[in-house]
Amino acid sequence: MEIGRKFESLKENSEKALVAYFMVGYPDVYTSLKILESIGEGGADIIEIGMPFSDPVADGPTIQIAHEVALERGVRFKDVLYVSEKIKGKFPHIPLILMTYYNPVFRIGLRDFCRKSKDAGISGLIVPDLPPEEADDLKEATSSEGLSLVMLASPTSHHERLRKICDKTDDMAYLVSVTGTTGARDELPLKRIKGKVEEYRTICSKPIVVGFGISNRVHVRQICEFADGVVVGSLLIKLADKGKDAIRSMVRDLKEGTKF
Amino acid sequence: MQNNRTKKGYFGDFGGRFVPETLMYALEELEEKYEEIKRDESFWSELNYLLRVYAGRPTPLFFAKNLTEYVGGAKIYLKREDLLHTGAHKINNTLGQALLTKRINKNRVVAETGAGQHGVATATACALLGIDCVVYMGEEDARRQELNVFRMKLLGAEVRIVKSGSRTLKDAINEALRDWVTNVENTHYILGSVVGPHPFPTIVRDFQKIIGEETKQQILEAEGRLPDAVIACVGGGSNAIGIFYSFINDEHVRLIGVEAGGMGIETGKHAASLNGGSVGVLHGMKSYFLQDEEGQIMNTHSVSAGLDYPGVGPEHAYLKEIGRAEYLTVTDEEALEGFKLLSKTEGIIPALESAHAVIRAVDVARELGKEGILVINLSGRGDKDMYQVMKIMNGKV
Repeated sequence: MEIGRKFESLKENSEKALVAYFMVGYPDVYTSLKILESIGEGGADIIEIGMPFSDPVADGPTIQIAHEVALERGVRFKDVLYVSEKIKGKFPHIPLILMTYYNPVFRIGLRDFCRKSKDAGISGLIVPDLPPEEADDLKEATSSEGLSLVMLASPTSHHERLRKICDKTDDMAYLVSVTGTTGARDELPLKRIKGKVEEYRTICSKPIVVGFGISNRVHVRQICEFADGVVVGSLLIKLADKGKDAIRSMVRDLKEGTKF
Repeated sequence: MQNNRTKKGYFGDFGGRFVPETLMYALEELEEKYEEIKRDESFWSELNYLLRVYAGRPTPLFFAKNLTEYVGGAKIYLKREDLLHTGAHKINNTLGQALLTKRINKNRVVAETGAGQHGVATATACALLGIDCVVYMGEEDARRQELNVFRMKLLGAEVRIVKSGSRTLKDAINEALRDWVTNVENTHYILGSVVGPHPFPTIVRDFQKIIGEETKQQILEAEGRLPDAVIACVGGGSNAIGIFYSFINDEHVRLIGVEAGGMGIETGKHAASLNGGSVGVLHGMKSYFLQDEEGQIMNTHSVSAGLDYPGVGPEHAYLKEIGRAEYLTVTDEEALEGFKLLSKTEGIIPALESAHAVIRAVDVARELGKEGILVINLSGRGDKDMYQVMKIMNGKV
């Protein structure tokens, strides 16, 4: 689908994917919309749109605060859809992936959630607390609404688990770089990440991007040497108070690291 | 009946394993090793030894003659879990899981705590067995239960104060899960109730079901027949499942869970997820939760910190769904009545949690009539609540 095609066109230009995350409603809906626009202008290949949840167990302190602030601001699903629609309108060629936890999706209703997301220009979903074993119901809904469901893999995913992930995931897999939560880190266990990517490639032909902990262009470059792309999130959330121009130039700089 | 599962790790439609991928391997491993250990007699003899000589099992089943006369209905028995070391049923589970930790070759545990009871019981088991222990506790709870923070530290545990979200039990669980995701390779998570991803609800129930096993034998010795009803308070639901489990197939025994009604269900300030909540997914399980229509988890309220949790164990959700157990509520005010009533009539000061079961048992005993027999699971003692209750009562009895 749309996300898969993006990887093909990147490949033709000898580029890897820069996937950039930002939370709707942090620090408020309007500002987050402007920041997401600057992420698009900066050259992100895929944008991950965050929807806040009260109990974000996979997130570290930086993104936890974004969830809390957004909820305090009263952000609802309709705000996420509004922002998505605006971004899609402005950047029709950038696939948008909505990232949230399973409970909001479940409670709003799997089909309803997927249909409304699709209508707002969303191409796929990432749900960090939904492992492949529990994904069948949502997968049925995403498939019938024409959305991709992107599964996560981890350093602790052994061979058999990678196979399950590959079976379930659409277009790409998202490898978590470390055991732990989201958040920029000074050092990454590159050897271990590379080993996991190589293991994955022996099992799965779908592209694989690496996220969690990536905090500068050097990291981006190091990872893009062997993976199909990187995901950055906490780094951009941290930059939010520096304004959209700072975020645009950061994204531009990171994007350079993906070009070969 | 308890084997009627549709999918691995589920109780009917409830349960499952909704966690980040990083934890899946640890849960698979835990399940596999637990299945192995469960069949290992040396594990159970070691655990039973500690339960007997360290924790104080079996606990007595006490005929509450004065309370029975006061109420004028069914004969009321108390299962005295309050007499256990550390003051509540929690130690049954923490000793079991601490031994399990050693068997799976891990040397560090994390735990969450609300009021501090599970934290203290975990710190105790870890002190005994020489395991590094980190307890997560919400900032709000730590303030309310300062003494338990000190108690845990004295027992050698590191207490980490959680300042995210609502700063209470649910956030302490989130933080313990985050720690576990990060340190999964050397750390076991000692969950304190029959909640969380599979296999936790099963493991915790297996370590608590001794309550019902003993009760069954003791009531048969005392009365020559099974009780008409068994009643227990329900937060996450571990003491309730513990006493219910042996009776599930005895269909004429009513199983009654009592949830925290707080200021009343209609006020929205309560912690009664089965009575006032809806189906959702949190902390790794599909069950009932207090949440809004978009799945954001709501703040809870109860006078008793041990019941102050926005969800409930999946096996309770299942027992409710199939109609095998019934779930009632008790307000803060009623719970305080129960607290005073048992103190005065029997000289037993119950935990505020258990006081919920005591006061609702009064109605059930009347309903059953003089021929009936009723067992209350007195899950904990009230020492920890003295200061709070004294403040509520302005020091006047």
